Amino acid sequence: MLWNDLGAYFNPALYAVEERELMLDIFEAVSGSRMMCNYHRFGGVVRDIDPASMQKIKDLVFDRLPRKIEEFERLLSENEIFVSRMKGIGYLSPADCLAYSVTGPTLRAAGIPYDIRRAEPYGIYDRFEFDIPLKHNSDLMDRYLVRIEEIKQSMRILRQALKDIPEGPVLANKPTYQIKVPAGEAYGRVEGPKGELGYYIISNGKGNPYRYHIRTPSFVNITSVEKMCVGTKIADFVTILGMVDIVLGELDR
Amino acid sequence: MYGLGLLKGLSVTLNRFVESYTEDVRWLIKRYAKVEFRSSKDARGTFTIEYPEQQVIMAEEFRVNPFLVYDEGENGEKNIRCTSCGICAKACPPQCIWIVRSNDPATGRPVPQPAEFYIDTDICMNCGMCAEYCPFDAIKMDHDFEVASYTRSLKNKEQLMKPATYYKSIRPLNFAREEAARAEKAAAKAAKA
Repeated sequence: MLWNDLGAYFNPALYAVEERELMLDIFEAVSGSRMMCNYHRFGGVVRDIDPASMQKIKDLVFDRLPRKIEEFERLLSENEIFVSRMKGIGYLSPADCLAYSVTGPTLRAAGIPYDIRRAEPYGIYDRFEFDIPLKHNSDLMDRYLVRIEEIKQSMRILRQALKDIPEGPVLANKPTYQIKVPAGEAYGRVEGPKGELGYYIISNGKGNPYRYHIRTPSFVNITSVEKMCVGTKIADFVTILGMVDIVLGELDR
Repeated sequence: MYGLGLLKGLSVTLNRFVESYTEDVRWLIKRYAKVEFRSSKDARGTFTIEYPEQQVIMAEEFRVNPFLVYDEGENGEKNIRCTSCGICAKACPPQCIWIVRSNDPATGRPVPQPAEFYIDTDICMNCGMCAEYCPFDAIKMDHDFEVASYTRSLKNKEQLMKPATYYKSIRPLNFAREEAARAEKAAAKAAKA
């Protein structure tokens, strides 16, 4: 969306939608639905990936997506208009990043190597080899470069995951649609594309949660917009807002 | 040189522009085969398809709105698989399934057949939990996604019932797997008795 705001009207965004479309096709073939996948269960997933979809995933990861990422970079990374609109704009000091509890690419572009996959590894991320992209200027250009580098690192993780994906049962326990959780509270967090995504839950021992709160990265990150905007031109506001990369569903808390 | 990066970027756009025409010419005659190409890794050119004439390939697991499976008897009677156990109604997250159990009119005892079966497809969120937890393979998810209507669509038992042959036609792999499991179970039962 940032590229739209900068006047590259819908071209880069729609090029990216093509790749997204191919990924959503895989989602549909594996789980049954494009957006509301409903694929995970307590203790596993609902069904195994069929061989045709597996081949499709491998084609995408090993062949198509590296080509396309290279094309995106050729399209924008060296574009003079693009660079001059982003270099030195929207500075947010590392101290302010921490004060506003900003997470995600914005924080990493300020030179703070914080990634929950490293800080508190969850799932199987401790088995993968990947770098945390880091820049130090804390302007829009650096945030853009961090994001591009993150796509490449994600591809690297995917290649390792596809190489040794095991065969076997996909569900550990008996299928249940509702489980009784012992009373207590818990906070689980993952590194989302926009920052720390956390789920806080309180159980009173019944089937449904007693209290439930989601910590969305967009909602927290947007509070820093004021700090970035003060002193810049009005035309830059749109760019800064685009680079915070908000999702309105996450903002509506 | 200043402006070189700009030209480099624009060459990508120009390439795409030319490609959209050359690809159109390439698929001019067999444009219905293009859909398969569009979802492959080498997809190029215009990505959109002309919907009512062309349709994207539907995955077997694709799911919209549940339906009730019945087996066709010899004289064309409909033997509904549902035993009105109510597990689907319990598993349904938005609670859109209503079942009325039936009683034998002579003895008053309950019989394993639903008297009424309603699904409010306006509330249904197509999660597929009912189909997953049904122990009798009686409720399954449909492939018919063109569900727009002028009225509210509360569906009753008659509207929900579809033959097992239809189920086999939309989900051949799942059907074969379930039939094999059922045959195995029947064989085990016969061996025991």
